[in-house]
Formats: sequence, structure tokens, C-alpha cells
Amino acid sequence: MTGARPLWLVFAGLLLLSMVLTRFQVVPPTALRSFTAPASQVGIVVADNLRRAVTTVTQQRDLRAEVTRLQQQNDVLRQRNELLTREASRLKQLDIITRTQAPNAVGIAQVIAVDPSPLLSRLTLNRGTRDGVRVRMPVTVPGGLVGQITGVSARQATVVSLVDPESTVGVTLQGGGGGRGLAHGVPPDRLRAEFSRGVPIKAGDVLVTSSLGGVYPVGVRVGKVEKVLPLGPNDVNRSVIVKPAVDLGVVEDVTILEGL
Amino acid sequence: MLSRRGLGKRGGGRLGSGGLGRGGLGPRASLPQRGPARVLRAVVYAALLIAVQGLLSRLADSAGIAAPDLFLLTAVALAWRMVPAWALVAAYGVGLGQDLLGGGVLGLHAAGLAGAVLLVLLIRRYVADSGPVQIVLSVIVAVAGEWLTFAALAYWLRSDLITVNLLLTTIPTLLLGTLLAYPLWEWAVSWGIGPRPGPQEKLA
Repeated sequence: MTGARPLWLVFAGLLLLSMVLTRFQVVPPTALRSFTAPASQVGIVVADNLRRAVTTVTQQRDLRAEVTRLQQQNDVLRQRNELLTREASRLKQLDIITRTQAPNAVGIAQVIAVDPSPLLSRLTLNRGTRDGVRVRMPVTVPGGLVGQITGVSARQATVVSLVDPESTVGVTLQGGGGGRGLAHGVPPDRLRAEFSRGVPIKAGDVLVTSSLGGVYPVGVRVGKVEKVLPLGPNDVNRSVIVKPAVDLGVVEDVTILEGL
Repeated sequence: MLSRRGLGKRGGGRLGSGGLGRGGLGPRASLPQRGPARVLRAVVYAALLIAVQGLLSRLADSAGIAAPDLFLLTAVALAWRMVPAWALVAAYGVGLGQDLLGGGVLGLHAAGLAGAVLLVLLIRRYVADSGPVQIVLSVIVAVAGEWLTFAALAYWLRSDLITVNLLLTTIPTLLLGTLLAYPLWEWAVSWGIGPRPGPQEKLA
């Protein structure tokens, strides 16, 4: 290795130079870096853009999976929310009814079927004798009276609504205006109430249940007088057409009350 | 850039023909072109080196690993293309450029690259194979030479620059990355500095 000596000497010289430079902490002038800054900047900008692109692509993939997962979760929560909303609505309805109509509610039932006949108005509920439902129990909603139970099986019950031709309900004027009457169902969606001629009834009056018949609790809203029919020379009663307080076509949940 | 013939003339024959450069480059091994085009290529290569090194360092930093050392590969390339003593000087110059880019103390990377080239010149002298074995050996001894020089300077400065944790975490990824980058970067080196001389040219 005798021929290598000059090379080692060169290296030793360079190393010595570095030792001196590093010992005295010789720092290059910043101005010199300005020459190389553009090239460095290019590399850094390209690297940053590459990194962002890769990050964006991977994040997009992750986000897509996250969105799918959240959508599924959202569907489940929406469904649960729907159920809870309905449950809350039923409980609120039950609360209103027990406070305003009768304190002895049996429970809430859902309308699971309606009579298809245009001449009848009957509902089928998803509660039966297993749930304590019996015949002649009144059925209401917060808006007013729906009808009464006329048939019960173990799991279902049939309700004859107010506008069914077989329905009869004792009514009176709201606010104790006096006079008892009987309201019969007039298909498809009205009642016809008969009052004695001395009752001062007029269109717009509100009718509520009376104790007549002993089926319904007193004071449950039945409907509003829509039209007072003219009296004939031989009529002993005054007839009025009543619009039910409850739109039976849209009722979903009803409350079953204990019978009197 | 540095022409072997030109450097030989200016730098003196002793450095150019002696030492580890016994199998030194003949006249045909000089860079293929001269003149403005040659200089322009070298300048473009330097700009490319700075830009790509910045890019790799930025990407590697974000990944938490050490970037391939293209300055080291440039020094290795010089060791295979130039007269040994001048290769040392040129590597030192490249290292000074690296120090300048880093904005740190001058001389640290310069000495490191000189140490790397010193060991690569041993490979150049004693390993005749020009295939993968030589490439792997060149990069390994270059990394070893660079870090040994770093360690020597750190000891000289009584600095805790080199730690065991740094050696265990940085050097493996640095070595692997540099090894992987070598074949690709060799294309850029061949274009910017000139092709590596073949065995016949070495014998000439």
C-alpha cells in the first residue's frame, strides 16, 4: 500500500480541514443558499403535492367507507327514531287522554285494518282480550271520540266508529249549554244528531259525549255542528249534521278506555 | 465539471497516477463531451440532484424514515469515474455543497463524503466485478466510510451527534434506500457526469 500514501495524505488534509471548519463552526453565508433555493423548492413542492395526493386518495377511500358505515348507522338510527317518536306520541296521547277524557285508560292500540265498505266505518285494533280489552269499551284519541269496541278476539278488537250507521252516541252541547241528543252515524263521514226542538243549537256548536247510554265518559269531544236541518211541520226533534272531531281516515293510534 | 484529463494536467501527475488509482482511467475514460454542453449537463445534474434529494427527504421525513443519500451516490459515481485523489477532492466539494444546502456547519458532510470515497476507492482497486456485488459493496462501504468519518468528527468535537439510537434507526433505512436508489440514480449520473469507464478503458 505504499502507493496509497498520497491518497491517505489527501484524505488526511481534507479531514483536517473539516476538523478546523467544524471546530470553529464555520457557517456558509445565507446568500449562497439563495442560488440553490429554487431547486430545493421544486423538490419540496413536488414532494408535498405527492404526499397530499396520496393522502387525499387514501383519505377518500377511508371516507367512502366511513360514509357507507355512517349511512347504515343513520338508517338504523332513523328507524329507531321513528319508533321512539311513535312511542313518545302514543305516551303523550295517553297522557292527554288520561288528563282530559278519562283516567282509566286500558292502553294504546294501533289500527291494523279498516272496513273496506263505503257504507260502514269499522276499525280493527291490535289489542284483544289478552290485553284486557272488552266489548263496549270506548275508543278515543286526544282530538275526540272514535267509537266503541263491538267485537274482541284474543289479539284483535273491532271498533264501530262514530260515523258507522250502527253507531249511536249520546251527545250534548259543550259547556253545559243544555239539551241531550243522540247522534247516529251517517256514512261516509258525518253524524246526524237529534235534539229536542227547544235546544238552541246552531252551526258551529261543539258536541261532546253525554252520560246517555252509559257507554262513554262524559265530555269527550264528538264533533262540530256543520248544518242545522230545517224543521218540518211534523218534526218533534231538531236534526243537525255533525262533522266528527276526529278524521277517522288518518287515525293510527287510539286509546282504549275502561267502560263505565 | 471536472475533466479527468484537465484535472490531471492541473493537479499534477503524482495524484493522478499513484495510490489507489493504479488501475486509473486512461484518456478514453475522460468525460464524453467538453465545452458548454458538458457544463450545462453538469449544472442540470446538480439542479436535479438538489431537487430530487429535497423531494426524497421531504417524503421520507413524512414517513419517518431516512431518505436515500443521493449526494453519497454522486460521490461514489465520482470515485468510479475520476482519478482517485481528485475523486476525493471532488467528493469533498460535493459534501461542501451538501453542507451549504443544509445550512449547517461547513465540513461535516464534506469529510463524510471524502471518507466514503476513500473506502469506495478500495473497492475500485480490489473488486474487479462490475455487477451487483460491486454495486452493493460500493454503497455499503460508502455508507460505512461516511458514518465512520461522522463518528470521528463527532468525537473530535466531543459532540453527541452520533448516538446508538441514531445508528440503529437511521443507518438501516438509509442504506436500504440508497441501495435501491443506486440503479436509478446511476442513469442520471451517466447522463450528467458521464458514463462509467469499462474494463478496457481502465486497462488502457
